[in-house]
Amino acid sequence: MSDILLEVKDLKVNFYTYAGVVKAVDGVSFSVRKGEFFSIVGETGCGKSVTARAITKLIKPPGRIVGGKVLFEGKNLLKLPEKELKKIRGKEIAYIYQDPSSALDPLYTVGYQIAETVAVHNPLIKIKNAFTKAVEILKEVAIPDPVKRSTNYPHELSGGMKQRVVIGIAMVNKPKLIIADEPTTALDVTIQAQILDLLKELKEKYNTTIMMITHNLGVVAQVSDRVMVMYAGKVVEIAPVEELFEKPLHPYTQGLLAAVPNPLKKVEEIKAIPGFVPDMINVPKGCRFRPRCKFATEKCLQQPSLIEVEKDHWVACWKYWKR
Amino acid sequence: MVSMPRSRSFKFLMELREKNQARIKELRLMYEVLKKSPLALIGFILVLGFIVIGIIGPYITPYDPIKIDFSNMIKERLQPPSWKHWFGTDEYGRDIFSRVLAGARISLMVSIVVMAIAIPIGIILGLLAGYYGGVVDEIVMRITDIFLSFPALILAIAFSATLGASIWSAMIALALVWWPGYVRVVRAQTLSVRESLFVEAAKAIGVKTSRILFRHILPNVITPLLVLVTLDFGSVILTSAALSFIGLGAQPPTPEWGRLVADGRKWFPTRWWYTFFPGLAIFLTVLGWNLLGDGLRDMLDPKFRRRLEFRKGDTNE
Repeated sequence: MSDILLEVKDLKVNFYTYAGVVKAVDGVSFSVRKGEFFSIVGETGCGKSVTARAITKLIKPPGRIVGGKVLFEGKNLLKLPEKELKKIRGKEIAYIYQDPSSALDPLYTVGYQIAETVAVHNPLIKIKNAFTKAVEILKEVAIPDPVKRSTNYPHELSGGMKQRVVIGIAMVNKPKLIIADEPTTALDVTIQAQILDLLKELKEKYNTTIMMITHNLGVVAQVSDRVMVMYAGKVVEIAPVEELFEKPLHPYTQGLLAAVPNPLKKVEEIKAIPGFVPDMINVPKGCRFRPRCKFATEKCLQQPSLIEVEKDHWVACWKYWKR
Repeated sequence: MVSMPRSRSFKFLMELREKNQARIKELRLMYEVLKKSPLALIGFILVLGFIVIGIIGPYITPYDPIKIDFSNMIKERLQPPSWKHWFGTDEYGRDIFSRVLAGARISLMVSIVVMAIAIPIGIILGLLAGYYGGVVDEIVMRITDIFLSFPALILAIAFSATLGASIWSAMIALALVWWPGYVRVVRAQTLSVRESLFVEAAKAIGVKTSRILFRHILPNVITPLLVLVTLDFGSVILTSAALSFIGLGAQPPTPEWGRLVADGRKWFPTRWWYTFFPGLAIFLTVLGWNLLGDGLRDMLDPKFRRRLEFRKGDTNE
């Protein structure tokens, strides 16, 4: 099992709001292998981003991590003191954010911000001296005229360029794991494809691992090796990407794939999943997808756990427990 | 060959210009605002004049502002304004113009010292309260509220009465009552900047908390603080004059403006120049800071700027 880079076990994150306790992530377990492109898909509010942030304890109050383990190269990150975590953040595990315009500090040049990332993890380097590194990385993320661009402020760059800078910031310390939280959501489609290609290319070049969070199944299909589907704070299915698209097992995954319009076929009606995402304060008993599931039975009043139906294909549904 | 160095220096200038493009634009915009708003310009000139006099004032006084010339005292005392004594003389025959000039130094010093103490306290407490929230926020803000629940002048009177009447205790007293306003402004701004993604992004690359606070949050909250500080410079000068007026600030023979007004009071209104000119100095200085503060707020307010940019664009095309 040495090829596992990150293992999340039974992660639980609660948000203590005035309306009640929101169990945003409720017992999520998965592992990410070295060198793979792992995607997490799910609707808005299903706990994808919270899971990603919890990995390096970036959850802000009123949220709190209430249970579970995050093993990164065998170390439990949730047990590490803040000081040690700071050494891991940005050096071993780096983040790419959804909205590049707000992920960059408006008052510093992009070169400065890349240089800062280098200097933070290297006390011997002054920010001023890390500028050459910044120019190098800007070239790496395919920004034209990197010397000049490094002296630009974020507002002087386009959205796609800003996202390249954010990717540059993530890449500059050559982290082992990059967590990309909806890296393409804020960009238009042509730029999306470029950014995804860039991510893939850099992953191969630096031999890192990428964990991407998205709600876009097209993006998932384009780049991922394995996919995890989340629903209402729980994992419903984990499978290699081809398997998931050819043979989705969980009713939710099936519904999700059916709801994506195929550009090659003219459809009369997009098949939406009936019903709504459950209220996260009063979640349904048992399987959380039960109220919307057409296969629901008595048994679904109990929470199913993940089982490996085929090699590498895990699903949390009673349908597959019969055997 | 001849044009070589020239073209090189030209290129260098262009490069310099390109590098500082954002800053140049900023300065041009400030210039535009000043040009469009005569009041801000007046404020700027008054403040500039005050600062210049505050720095060189004591060296350019026509007469000694403190020493009493006993040999001519009887002859020179309480003279009305004339070419010899522009602002007249006081009861000891001292030149009031000289005393007012020298007084600018004291007011400048008081306001700078007070700000130099109050601003760092305000920034540090405001950042901590806003960034950490929770218990830290509660403790800091409740203490701040206690200070704010007294009128500044009353509290300053209490402090400087306790510390003993002198210009230094007046400064300390003013600094002690002035920081709560800054805590509030910095905290409120911090609360909103803290939620920005770039703060989380900074955390996610492993930046130390102190660096996040002072390098990423502080520069983003400084603008409203700057406006408030400019407006407050006038108030500090006014309040320190008030303290001296009631005898708790500068002690004679220090030529403090509030003190001069107080001393001239007993000769008022027949010897009007004694109170009038120091009073005018206070008035112009405070007015100058307030006008400048208002202008600065307009300058830094994006809405106002956009209006100005639009207007400029219209006339050009």
